[in-house]
Amino acid sequence: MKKNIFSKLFSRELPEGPVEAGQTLGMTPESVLERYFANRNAILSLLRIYSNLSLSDVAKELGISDTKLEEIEKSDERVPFQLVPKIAEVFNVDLKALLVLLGHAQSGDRDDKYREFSALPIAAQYSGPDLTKQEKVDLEELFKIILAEMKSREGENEI
Amino acid sequence: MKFLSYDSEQKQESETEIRNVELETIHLFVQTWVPDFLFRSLRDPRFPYHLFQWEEIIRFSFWAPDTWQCYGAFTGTRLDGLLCLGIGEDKLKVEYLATAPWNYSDVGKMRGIGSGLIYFTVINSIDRHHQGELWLDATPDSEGFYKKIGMIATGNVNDSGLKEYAMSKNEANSFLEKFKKHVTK
Repeated sequence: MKKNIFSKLFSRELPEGPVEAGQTLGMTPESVLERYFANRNAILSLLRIYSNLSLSDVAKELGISDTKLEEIEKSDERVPFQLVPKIAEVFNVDLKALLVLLGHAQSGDRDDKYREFSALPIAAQYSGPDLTKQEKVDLEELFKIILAEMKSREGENEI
Repeated sequence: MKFLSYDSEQKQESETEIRNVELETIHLFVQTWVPDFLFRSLRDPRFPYHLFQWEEIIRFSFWAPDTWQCYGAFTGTRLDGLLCLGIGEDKLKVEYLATAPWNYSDVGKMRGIGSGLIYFTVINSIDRHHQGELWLDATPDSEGFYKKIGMIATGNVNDSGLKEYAMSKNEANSFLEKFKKHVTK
């Protein structure tokens, strides 16, 4: 299943780890990304391949150049925050889960047994305005606040 | 061992073979199961699949082949399932068993992979004079499957909170009888 296409995304050497410790409940997506992939943003290449979209298709949707997207996919730098909702939309993936994988949020008190996000888990970790506890409850709502803040600073933040 | 699995996408039976894992199996796991798991987890954060560190489990089986044996279920060149058995003196433990992420749940691609791996384990248990008996620690979402094939919770719980399930001689015979029609070799 897409074996050859993905080969460049993976680490050259698989890290070694204990067979027993923490094994019986499986790995979280975050630990899978860290363990097997050459860099964090390789997840974007993976999503693009699974969605059967070209680099140009995605770059166009995101409003950035092909070169910039390629650069982002190959780097370990944090994907610009304001791009993440659009990325989630283009690939039809869960925004909260994508935020966590791209390093913009933490999954918090996740119930490993059932792989669910609890109600209050995701704390935004970006250098924006301070967030109240209530604001953290719904990250999608937070996005609106953050993006509005970014819009008001238009010109200061370049993607 | 070969058995008939069912491809629910192609709506046809396929032959799946269970055989010893090789180094190439690790590459297959990393290059097919890992990205598929991540993709499905992003599409649905509640995807209840447990992705084990199979590369470590398989490597360990190379190092300790007398006590830790791993097998893969292959449909053509596709790795559809993995099994790791702990070989004890008086009983056989299923240390790890998994179908591929794309086969998971009722709407998964290939049906019958888990049952095929259990059948293989029961036969292995009989060959080792354990009368088909086996036991395992079940992840919460797989308990339904183990109950369905006749396994019974023993009441024990492991350090990770997983319930222990066991298959007795009678349950094993009953399972073999039901599944044998799918076995081709």
